[in-house]
Amino acid sequence: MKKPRTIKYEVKGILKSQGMKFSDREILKENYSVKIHTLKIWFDDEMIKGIQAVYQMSNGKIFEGKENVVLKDSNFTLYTFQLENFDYLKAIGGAIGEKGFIEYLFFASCSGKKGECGQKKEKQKNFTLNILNSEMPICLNGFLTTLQGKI
Amino acid sequence: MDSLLLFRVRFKKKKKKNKKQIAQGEDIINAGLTQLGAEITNDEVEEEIILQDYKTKK
Repeated sequence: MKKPRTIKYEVKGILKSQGMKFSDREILKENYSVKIHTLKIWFDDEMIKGIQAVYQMSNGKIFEGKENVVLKDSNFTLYTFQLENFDYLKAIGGAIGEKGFIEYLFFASCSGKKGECGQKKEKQKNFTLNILNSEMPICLNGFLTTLQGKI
Repeated sequence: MDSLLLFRVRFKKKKKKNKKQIAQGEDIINAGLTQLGAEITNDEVEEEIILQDYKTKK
């Protein structure tokens, strides 16, 4: 499938020394004619623990991205933001806590569907991925941090 | 006298155990998502198809 004429990379948050960078481009490879169909988010009382995107190809087929969850636990809550076939993702944002972890996420679709998960607290720093009206996200990436020792 | 000595030994052992527990408690693991991003496109052809599909079904 042909590469889009323009593609931009939007990243928000903090890159720590201990952790793992992830990108679904490793799985999607040269597939650029996709849209994010579903987002699955794992979280607990403190922060977002992981995220997975499910993609829809131009032929309608559903394709699961990598499950990027750190130290997956049965106590995590799973939130699913699923879009109709005709709809697509228009806004992704959230809030970062004092320790640098993403604690809250929100999503909005072209048709006006909204979703949110995690914990909204005071003293968080809000962020939004810069997605213009004429744009849409086609591949998810991020960074999972694992800190061990005294904090 | 013997019982007092025994008490002291027991107390010392208990104190050591508590110290060990605190040391284990210091190994806090803090893990989660710290960065989120996306590849974003404004490929007109791709968007046109989706928008047409959206308008038709609406």
